[in-house]
Amino acid sequence: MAQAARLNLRMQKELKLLLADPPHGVSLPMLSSDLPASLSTIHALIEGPEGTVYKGGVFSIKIQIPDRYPFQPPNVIFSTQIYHPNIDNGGRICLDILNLPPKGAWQPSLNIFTVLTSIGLLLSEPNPDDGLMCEASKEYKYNRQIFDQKARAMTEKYAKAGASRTSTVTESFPPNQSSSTMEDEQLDLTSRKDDSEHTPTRKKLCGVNRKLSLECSVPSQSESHEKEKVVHTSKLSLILQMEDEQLDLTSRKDDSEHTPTRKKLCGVNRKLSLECSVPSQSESHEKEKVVHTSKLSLIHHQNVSKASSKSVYSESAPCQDHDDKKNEFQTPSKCVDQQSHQVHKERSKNVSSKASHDKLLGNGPKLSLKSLCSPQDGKRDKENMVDACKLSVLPQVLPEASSNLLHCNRQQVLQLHNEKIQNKAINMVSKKQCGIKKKLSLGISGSPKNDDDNKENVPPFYQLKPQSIPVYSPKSLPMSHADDHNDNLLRQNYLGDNTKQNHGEIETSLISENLIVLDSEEEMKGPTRSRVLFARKHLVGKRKGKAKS
Amino acid sequence: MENDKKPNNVVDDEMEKWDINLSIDVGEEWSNYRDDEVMQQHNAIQAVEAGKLPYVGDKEPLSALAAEYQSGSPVLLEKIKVLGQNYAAIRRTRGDGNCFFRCFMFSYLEHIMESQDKTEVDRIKENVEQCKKTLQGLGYADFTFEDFFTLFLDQVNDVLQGNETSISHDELVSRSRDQSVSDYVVMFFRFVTSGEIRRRSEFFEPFIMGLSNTTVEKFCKASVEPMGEESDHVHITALSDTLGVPIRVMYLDRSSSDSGTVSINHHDFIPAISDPPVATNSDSVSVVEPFITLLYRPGHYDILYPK
Repeated sequence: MAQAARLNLRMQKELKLLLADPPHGVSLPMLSSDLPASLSTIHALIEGPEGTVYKGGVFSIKIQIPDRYPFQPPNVIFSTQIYHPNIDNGGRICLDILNLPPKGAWQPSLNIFTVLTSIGLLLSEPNPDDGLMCEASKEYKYNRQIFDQKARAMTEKYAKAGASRTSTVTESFPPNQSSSTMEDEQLDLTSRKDDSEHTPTRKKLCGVNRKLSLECSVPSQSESHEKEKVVHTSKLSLILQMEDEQLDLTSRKDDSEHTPTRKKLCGVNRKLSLECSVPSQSESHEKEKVVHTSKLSLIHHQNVSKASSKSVYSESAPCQDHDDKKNEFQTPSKCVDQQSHQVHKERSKNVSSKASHDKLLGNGPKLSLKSLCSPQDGKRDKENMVDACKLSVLPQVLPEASSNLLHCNRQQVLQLHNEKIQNKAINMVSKKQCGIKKKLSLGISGSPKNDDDNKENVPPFYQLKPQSIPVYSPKSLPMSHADDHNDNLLRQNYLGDNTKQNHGEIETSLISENLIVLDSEEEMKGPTRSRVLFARKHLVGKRKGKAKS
Repeated sequence: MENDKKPNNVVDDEMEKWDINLSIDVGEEWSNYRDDEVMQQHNAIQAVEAGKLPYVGDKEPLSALAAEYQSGSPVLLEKIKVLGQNYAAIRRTRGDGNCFFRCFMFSYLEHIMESQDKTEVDRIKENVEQCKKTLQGLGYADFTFEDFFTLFLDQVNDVLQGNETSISHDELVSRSRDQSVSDYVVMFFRFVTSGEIRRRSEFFEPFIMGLSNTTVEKFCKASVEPMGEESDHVHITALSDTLGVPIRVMYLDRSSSDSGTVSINHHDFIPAISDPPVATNSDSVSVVEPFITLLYRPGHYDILYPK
């Protein structure tokens, strides 16, 4: 009791001084009127420092005073969303003085003033070496431009005057996105609850779903905001949000063994959002913007739609597919060297999947591939926009499809006699897949070299609609055993599609230097990974060589 | 069935990779702990410690200390025997990194309580006032330290009998075991220690450099001001100097002298009177007999009671 009284007394003194002479750029609106009854929670507003990406933003901070303050540090949280290497989605701040030793550097001689000053400093000078947000940290270190764009976009969206919704954490997500957020949360929960054996596979799906729901939420936004730019930013932030959530989960909840897969997923997402942020930067290239976005979503859709179209094929020849899969594992067994394993595997996969594609399919993927290239002469921005809208309307069907996928997946996993092995294999496969995807998106981003081509590249995506949807609904899987193999096949298809695209990419020789730069960036992620990367580099090098010759 | 074997080989290879992956991740696991989880763990450890021993224990005869080493080093037992010639009892403190300060606190207040030495109280109040100025001069905001100062001075006043707020010895013990008092007083000592080290940074710098190879500023921030940071010669010297309280430390370790006779090393921290209010000659300083005696065993301080 005595301590509480003492604390109260101290807080009164401290806050009085804080109000009289707040740190630069800090205001305490809640306190300015009168000293509130409870001194244990303080709301402060901190301005984005001049000359930083947060300039012009006003960030709301919640400071909670623990009972044992000042022996314990205050609990400080950002209520306003901010893109910062040391501040996570939940607003938690990675700052040494906010934690007790041994990990932190809090000492009872510090106080709220020094804490606020330190936070102001942290905004001016993030510490990417001790990052809480690994994406943001990496971007800050290696791709400052992208970081700046994202941070500015977030500041613009959440921290600018009039953004009243940012006053509390719970409201910081725009309301009309709540449905998609819910969906993600549910998915997270399921994946968390799952046995570890199930998780690797499902996580990938989660990733897919995320992307889908991500797209889903865009149309609802575009309804309320006519301006496409708004759509862009919201979309962008959404992607970031997703990405962040993923990251969060990865670092916190995941068993260590799942992390690699997850990281890959993040990688993919990052690459995608990266694409997104590029267009929103330059206002002068409005056309490009639309094109980029639509292309982005195209990537997702193609993956699924093609998978679905291929499931038609798989029904007719499931054995073939199985063989393909076996081939995948057989081929590399001859190789002793691990690295060459990777190369061979990728190659053999490409070959096998391509072979099957050529034989039996060709319809779906080729169509979409074509559509990617098919010129739309004389179309203007607005029409492109419409396309983009249509694009984003489409995926409302997709969650259903993905849930189907999810369902099949579980069955498959249960069915397998050696689950672990399978999962490992899948994991490896999905890793590669991600790698391929990455290349894919990069390739596309590198492609729009002149604006004219860009415009032409806008796909008439609605053409895919009638194909993909009916094929994918559960009803249209007539064979009873299809369920068993379905996932196998889908996965295979999924893979195949990617590789297919990959081929397309090679054909158009779109491998840009970006790829190499990005790869080297990520080599720090760990030995296994870098091996894969190394292998991939090898591959790229060889392909390049081919392209040249 | 050749086809079946081959995939297995691959899978084995993949498993190996997977295992490597796993082991790496396990290695990184510690760094994955979030700060609040580390703090929770820390608190849990402290709670367990608290169950074993209060901040300040009960007075025990020295034989209790000997019992601790019954099956231990004979050198230590010998030393405890020697110690028993001059010292009667021991009062243990909790080994939470603040033991020196808690020892000092209890020992000093107990001394004031027993001696009712008003001149000493006046003197230390003056010193505390000086410390306050030192801290202000170093740029500390008043409110960050004044509560701690006030609380310490309250305790000093309370142990002097004859006031309304005067307390009994039992109350002193219970206050010393009360976190809300004990920690505040410890923090007061940490403040004044830190202030003294910074004020005389030229003097302390070589010691600090030798001890931890950091600057004075960093040392104070990392090893003096945070709670739970153990005290060393530098701390004791600074605290003794700034409060003007001599401290004797008996060293109970396994070192033995060349002659074969067992003796206990001790060190008296006699305050260096840098700016004496009254001119004193060196004799009077050396005559000072420390009324605070601590027993040092590597890593820990307890209170010793002379016969």
